[in-house]
Amino acid sequence: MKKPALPRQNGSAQKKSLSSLLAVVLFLVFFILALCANIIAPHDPWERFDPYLPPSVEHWLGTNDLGHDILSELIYGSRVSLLVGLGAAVLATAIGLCVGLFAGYYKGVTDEILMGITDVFLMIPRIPLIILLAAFLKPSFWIIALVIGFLWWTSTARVVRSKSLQVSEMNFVLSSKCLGFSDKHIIFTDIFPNIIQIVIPKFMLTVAAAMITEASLSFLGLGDPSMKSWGMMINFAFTKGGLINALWWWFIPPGLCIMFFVYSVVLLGYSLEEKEQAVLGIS
Amino acid sequence: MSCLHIKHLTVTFETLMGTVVAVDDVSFDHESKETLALVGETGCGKSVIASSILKLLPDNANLSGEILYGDKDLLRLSERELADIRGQEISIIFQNPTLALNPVYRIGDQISELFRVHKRASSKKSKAYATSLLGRMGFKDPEHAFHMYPSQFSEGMNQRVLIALALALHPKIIIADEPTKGLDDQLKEEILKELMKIKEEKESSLFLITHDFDAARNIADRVALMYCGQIVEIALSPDFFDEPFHPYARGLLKSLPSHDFAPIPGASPSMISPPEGCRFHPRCAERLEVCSHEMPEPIKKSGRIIRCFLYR
Repeated sequence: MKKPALPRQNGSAQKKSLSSLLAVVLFLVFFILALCANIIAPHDPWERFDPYLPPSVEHWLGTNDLGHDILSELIYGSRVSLLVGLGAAVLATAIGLCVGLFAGYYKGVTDEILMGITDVFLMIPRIPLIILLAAFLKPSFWIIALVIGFLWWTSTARVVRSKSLQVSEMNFVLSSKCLGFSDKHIIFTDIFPNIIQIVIPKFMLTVAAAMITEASLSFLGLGDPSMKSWGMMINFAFTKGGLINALWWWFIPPGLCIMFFVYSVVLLGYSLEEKEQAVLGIS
Repeated sequence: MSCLHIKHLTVTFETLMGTVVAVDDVSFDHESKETLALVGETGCGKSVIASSILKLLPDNANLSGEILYGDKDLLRLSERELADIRGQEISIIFQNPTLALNPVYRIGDQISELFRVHKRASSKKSKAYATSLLGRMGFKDPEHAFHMYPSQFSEGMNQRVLIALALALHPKIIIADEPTKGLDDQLKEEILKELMKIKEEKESSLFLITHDFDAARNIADRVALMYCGQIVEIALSPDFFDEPFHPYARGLLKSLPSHDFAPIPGASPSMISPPEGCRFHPRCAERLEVCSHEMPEPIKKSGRIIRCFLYR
């Protein structure tokens, strides 16, 4: 499978590696922000200063209606946003992975049933359902992450199924069977490691989808008001008059943060996908 | 003592082209500690017999008959019960060794996994077992081989790994499905020698499927010859090669380069619509009147089992 190194990379390949480098850097920056929020943030996000202060040396991004420092809010908000995004994506990927692996390995009736369920889930209008659930359930970001996770696994399940159909026909699966390994053992130790490369990019794209959904819900006022995520910050800016009074430092930065983080995750997902395709010799 | 009885095994496949009778009323006994070679040309159903012993056939296969192992009929066991037999009691060595190894694991891990799962050995112990097994399989530096991936090994090395895997749990029966296919002569000899050595040591029996007459002659105790889904002759190896009874066996031996190099006229028949009467009669030089409309039944004749009207 090893290819001889090309003497010179062409322009597009260079551009690609540059963009994936950018994605990695952006992702790491956000990750570190979330991890070390208490060290990096200049103030406690709940500490009150004068309200509506424009950006200054003391408050880089000014303050909001309650006098909270927006930069600190933004940094702490990354924790919530990332947690919801990653938590939902972990759940969705786990469900999709199991459904896809079992459907692809057992085939036949199991496959029909599992893929039937997947089709049903695909048909559910997801955002309206979440809005409905969020209205009835107590809005907490764990519940939002759970609901997103339970609704976003379908495409992962389909991709995993098709790949696992292919891998389970390979000889080494047969030979594992001949050595008396159980089906569960074969699925998780023989087939799973052979499809991990397609699960990771899928996971990244799910993170992006979950974050956008969380931000949309929060913006609609269905988020957890006690947890300041980026979507929640925009919601506050909208409802507390930040938008009308053009207090740009209040609503632009969280919007940019959402955009850049989702961008980095998607880019990362794509570059992983491309790498996988290059290894397989597709594209 | 015989350890595997196959009685009236028939395997058919439903395909779009019609029903393929891949194995047609095959019966034979496989004695313990013996080496039985199943020979025949490509596509005559040899591998199907091997796969049906461990029930590894695809869903469109219909099996009938009995495969008795001890007092158990393998065809009627559940997947769970079969999992206990596969690998530990009966194991199989496939052709295309590189494809039969998982590409994402190191060789050693694939072998030690067996001891960990089946023997519940600690990972340290399993590693030691695996390393010694690799050493026995002729790897000069087993420690080094342990850490290699299947893609870093040659076909012959992978074949030896596969044999190590199949023998790891000391199965009573080893099924080898053309283990030397695609290997050069020297390697072929080496691998067969290795296989026989371990087989003798563990007192297992070997069921060798091959189309290589030399291999069969060199290592087999008995030879079973297959033609178009049926076993046409079973005989002790020296008898078979000195004086074959069945006209097909004679034709085959004559077609070898070391003999007359004279091919059997005609082509092997279609498995979907096999010829009426004896399957071999359109190509047979010694056919009788009865051959074209009646199927000969297997009969015992001077220590052999033969399916031909000439010996009625």
